[in-house]
Amino acid sequence: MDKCEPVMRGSADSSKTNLELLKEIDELIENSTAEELDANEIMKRLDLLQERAPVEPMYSQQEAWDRLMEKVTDGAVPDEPIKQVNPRRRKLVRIAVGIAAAIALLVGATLTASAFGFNLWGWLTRWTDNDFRFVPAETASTSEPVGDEYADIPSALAGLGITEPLYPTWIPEGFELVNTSLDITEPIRMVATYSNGDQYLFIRVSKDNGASTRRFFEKDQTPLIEYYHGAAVHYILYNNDYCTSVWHTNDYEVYVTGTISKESMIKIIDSVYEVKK
Amino acid sequence: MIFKKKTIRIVSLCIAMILLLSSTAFGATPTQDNIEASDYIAMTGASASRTGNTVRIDFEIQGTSSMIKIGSTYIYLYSIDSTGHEALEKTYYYLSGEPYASQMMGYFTGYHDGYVTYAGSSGYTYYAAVVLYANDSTGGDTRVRFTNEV
Repeated sequence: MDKCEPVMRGSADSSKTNLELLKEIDELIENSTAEELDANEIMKRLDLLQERAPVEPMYSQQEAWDRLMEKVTDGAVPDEPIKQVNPRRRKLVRIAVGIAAAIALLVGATLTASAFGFNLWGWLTRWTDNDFRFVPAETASTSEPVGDEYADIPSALAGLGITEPLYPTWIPEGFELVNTSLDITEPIRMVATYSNGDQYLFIRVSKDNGASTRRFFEKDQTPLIEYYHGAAVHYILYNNDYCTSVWHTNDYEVYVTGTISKESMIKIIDSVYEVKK
Repeated sequence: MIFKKKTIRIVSLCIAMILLLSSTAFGATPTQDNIEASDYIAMTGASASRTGNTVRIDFEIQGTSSMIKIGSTYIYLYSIDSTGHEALEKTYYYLSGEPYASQMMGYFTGYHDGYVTYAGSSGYTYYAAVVLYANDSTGGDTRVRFTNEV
């Protein structure tokens, strides 16, 4: 697209339906090579969709119903109090940061990153040549929901009063934190993204509700390694060029994956426990 | 239309395989690695929960790096009645234009999660087959995960 061409805010584009815009985004992605990909065009359409109907982090049938009730009752108080919808901006921030990062990568500009358990013996593991997963030996209990947001995973863990050693203090040289995704409603899910050029490292901390039985970790046929540190068994597996480790500490599951060596992975694991000594 | 559970699962897997093998539609280039592991997907998960008759299907997918597209392309929700017969209740598609669709796919990120909800009926149990997909500029990969029954 000619860079001098008017931006997509005109009536023609505004008249498009959400579905048409989504399909255009898909076509822009699918019909372009990485070099040709026009992130600006995608951004414009995402912006327009966002203007029309701000994307919520999670679509909730109940919240949609509550909003409908609010409209049809014209502000009157219904039989049951209308729940106040708490706008959650976490995912919007994540999308925005992700898009910003992609643009920066695509145009070759410098990316300025934004600031951004289980009872061990209660779990069994299952793995094949192709994947790996945990299987509960007993039903996991549910927990009360929590609120609030934090800047990063360590501060969220501290703020939530989680004292278990879960997060590493050592990250391989060259990797920098580029994004943190925090979902601290139950079940807690937090993902940190580090990058070193075109290499990535992801660290995911979650409090589980039994859903880990349905999570599959990709692996190749390289034999799985069991690395013991403290009371936890850390499973280290390979997925082609990627090294992954996953373990449970009390009610929490920690998962690390990236283009790193086994030695670096072990150093990451060791660092989890260093600060808690 | 009523199907046997096994038939539905086989059909779902066939759909997934068709998606995988015909992934040119997604601009993907399947490689031998797809069979053993994945250059694009590090982890996938899907689970179902239920509050009253409201059924919730959660999914998540972790890419091996930052992906151009990552998320769920289709979610097939199945019901099982008291006699054990199964039926496809609803298909969720990320380009459907429905409100849930915006939750199904993430762009320019390495991780995506989301959920859809369904107003179920008493006397039925439900589960879903979730098609998870990730691609970057070099290709993509697909996995199908079945949830628990609720």
